[in-house]
Amino acid sequence: MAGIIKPLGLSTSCNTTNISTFGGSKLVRLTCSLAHTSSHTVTSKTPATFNANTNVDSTTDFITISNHIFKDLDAVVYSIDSGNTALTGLTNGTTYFVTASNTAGIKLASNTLNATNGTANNITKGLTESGHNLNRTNYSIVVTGGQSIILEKNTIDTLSSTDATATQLLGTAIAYKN
Amino acid sequence: MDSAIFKPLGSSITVSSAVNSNFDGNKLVRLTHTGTVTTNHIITCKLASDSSTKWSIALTGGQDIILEKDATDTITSNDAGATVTGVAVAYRN
Repeated sequence: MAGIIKPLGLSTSCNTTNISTFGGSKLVRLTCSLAHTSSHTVTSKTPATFNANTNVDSTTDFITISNHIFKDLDAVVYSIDSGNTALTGLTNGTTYFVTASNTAGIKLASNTLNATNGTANNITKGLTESGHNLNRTNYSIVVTGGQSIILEKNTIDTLSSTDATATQLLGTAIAYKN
Repeated sequence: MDSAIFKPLGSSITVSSAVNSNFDGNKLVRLTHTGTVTTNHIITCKLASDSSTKWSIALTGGQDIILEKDATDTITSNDAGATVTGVAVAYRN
C-alpha cells in the first residue's frame, strides 16, 4: 500500500453490529487480521430515515427526506425500528425502487417497471414515529486476511462487515496522498 | 511497497506500549509489523501537550504503512513485544 496515510480518528471495529459512517469521512482504511486463506466482506450502504407521519403525504405518496442522495430506480430496503409500525402500503424488510425523486424526497415503487413509469405505491401516513428507514446497498467487497484496503464512500454512507467477532476487521477514517 | 521512494531519516526503533516517540519531530513515519497475520496492533498518535489520543489505526502482521503526523505528536502501539518497528522517513512517488 504505497502512499501516505493521515488518520483522522480512532480505530474502530467494522462488524455485523457496528455500522459506522466513520465520522462522515469519505476515505476509510480497513485492516483484516484473519489468516491469509480467510476473509470478510465489507458492505457500503446509504441510509435515510423519515417520520411516518410528518414526512409522509398520503395524497401524493411522497416521502420527504432531507439531504438524501437517492436517485430514480435505486433499490432501497424499507425497515422499521423496534416499536414502530410499518406504513400501510409498505412492508418491513422489502425492497422498493425509487421514483419521482427530487431534492426534497422520493416516492417508492414495488418494481422497476413501476418506478420507470412513475407509478408509486399508495402509502398512508402513519403514527408519529421516526424509526422508519431506507437503505441502498452501494457495494460489497472482500478483504482477505493480512490485507488493508482503502475504500471511498459518500459522507453519509455506512460500512459494515461480516465480522461477528468485532476484532478481525478494524477501520480508521483517513486522508490519503500518494 | 515498491512504487515509491522513501528515505529513512534515522534508525529504526521498536514501537511498543513502552515507547512513545515523536521520531525526532518528523512528520512521516514508516511502521512495520513483523508478527503473525492474525494479530492486529493498534498504532496510536498522541498530542504532546496532554498525551490525549489524536487518532489510532490498525496494523496487522506482515504490513507496513507510512503515517503522517504533526511534528510534536508522539506514536505508540499496544504491542507489548517488539514486532512493531518505526523509522522517520522522507517520501516521494
